[in-house]
Amino acid sequence: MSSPFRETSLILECPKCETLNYLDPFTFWNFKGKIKCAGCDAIWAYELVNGTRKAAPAAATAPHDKMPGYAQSKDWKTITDFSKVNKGPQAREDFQGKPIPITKSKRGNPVSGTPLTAADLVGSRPKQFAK
Amino acid sequence: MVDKALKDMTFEDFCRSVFNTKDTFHKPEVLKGIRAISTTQYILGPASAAYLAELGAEVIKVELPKRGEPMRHTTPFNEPFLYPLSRWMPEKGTGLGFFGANPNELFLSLDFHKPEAIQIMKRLAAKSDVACENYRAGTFDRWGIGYRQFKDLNPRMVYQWMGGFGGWGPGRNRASYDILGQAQGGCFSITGWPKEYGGMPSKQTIWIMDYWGGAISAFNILACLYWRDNVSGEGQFLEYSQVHGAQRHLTDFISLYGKTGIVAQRWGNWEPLLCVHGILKCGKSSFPNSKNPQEQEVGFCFVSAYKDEDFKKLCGVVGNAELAKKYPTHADRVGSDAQQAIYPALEKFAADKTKEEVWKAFTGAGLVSQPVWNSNEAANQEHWHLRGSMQWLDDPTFGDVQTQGVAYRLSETPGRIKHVFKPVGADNEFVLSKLCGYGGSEIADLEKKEII
Repeated sequence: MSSPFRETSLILECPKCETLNYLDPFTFWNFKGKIKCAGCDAIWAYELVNGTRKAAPAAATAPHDKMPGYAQSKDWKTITDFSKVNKGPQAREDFQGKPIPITKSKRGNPVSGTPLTAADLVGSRPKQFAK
Repeated sequence: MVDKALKDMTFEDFCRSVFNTKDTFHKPEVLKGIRAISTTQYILGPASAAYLAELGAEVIKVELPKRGEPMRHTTPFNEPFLYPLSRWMPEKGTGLGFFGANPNELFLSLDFHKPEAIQIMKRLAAKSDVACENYRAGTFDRWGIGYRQFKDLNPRMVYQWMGGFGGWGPGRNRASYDILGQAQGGCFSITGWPKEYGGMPSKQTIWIMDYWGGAISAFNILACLYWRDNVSGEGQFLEYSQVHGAQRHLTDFISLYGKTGIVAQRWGNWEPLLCVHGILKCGKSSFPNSKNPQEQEVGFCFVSAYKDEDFKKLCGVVGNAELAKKYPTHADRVGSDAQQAIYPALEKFAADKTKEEVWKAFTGAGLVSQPVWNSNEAANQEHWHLRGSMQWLDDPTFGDVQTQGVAYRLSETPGRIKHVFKPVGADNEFVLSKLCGYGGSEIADLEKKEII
């Protein structure tokens, strides 16, 4: 039975090793260039227009232009090594994914954006964040 | 009687005067005197209570002690929080996901697993006009604090239950979320791109089914208060089902299916009923030097020119007279093949322009057009700040926050935002002493026993 992913557009199934290379729409929605398979490092020429591929991946030579955003091997093991897959695109360069202490709003006024202690709760409200 | 000064004004000055957003807090609140208990979580239930609170109802939000309801723990990518979450957990914060659905409320914490908490709920119910709740069907009934128990205590109570699928039928025990409502209600399948353009359906990013359901629930509550106060003297039980609410605004897609058997497909940023009435991709970014990828991307611009004379003007602006000749009438344009030819032709005009340049060209020709704004552009729009729809608020607990104001205007009894929300249980003492008759030591005892 042929793979259900053989002809999908935004999942590039490597014709060589059958790794599923997920092409995130943010990066690949409109794309023409070379993609490196996260499973076997094979390089594939590939073109997408509005999220739809123009043709099957064609063998190409290094260097590659982009790596997939996420990948998994044919036995469904995830590949997350950042030398093989791209980090997800983020809205900010300093994205951390953990609480960020903020003391000023966008317009520069005090806002209660930092963790407090029980002692901070004693007294007036403004005292809590106007440090 | 409208006084002479108002009569002599232009309509614009009249509106500016009677809706003066600087004068809001001097005016009465239209729902003052209505008390609602909101045992709600996430967005659907809280939104219904929030709309009442914006109009002046005294809404008492009841949450689990210490940690509060789940929506407090949702925030974009786990980053921005406002502190403290509660007096018991000052090192934790409330996530920005809690914004928008809980303004102006009083915050009480109660653990419904404790019998004393059930008694407190009953005392509150006896003195309240409205209850809003969105736990699974029958949960509060099982706990002894549902409509049937409250009606014995307070026959005038209007009880709004909101859930995924309704209180009876095969789906009654299923849980629901906004996106499930979009999926089952049919909205998801018709939003996104057709096969030729990638084929992906798309959810609405905002919790549109929750806020829509909250709004329906709020006006159902008001209708029942009217009925109670003017006709029957009694409250009633209201049910809102998210999946039914979602399909309610499928517009012509249901009648299309009923009449022809056609299952509508997605049509992206174009419109199956009208052409041209869609969004064009522009070739240049308006913020090429921004570090934010969303701002670096090329812009988009909406344009409407479905009337024949407007389409002719549009073709004149884009310099494509052939297009006007080939598709002179709306019937010529609105077909699928025609639209697939027209939009790419229009986008050729926009290919070397920013969305603002495209917008200027279209509006200059008298067409209805609008650049697609991002949250930066929306948050800083002078028009919205002047009219109070967007505001900076000096929140008494959290400091300087930007938030949506009320989206409507009432000349004599305007809605308003007093605070965006408060920490969990912030008003325990106030509510329990004022409405339930507890003294200070009794409240301390409730806290010690972790009932509140």
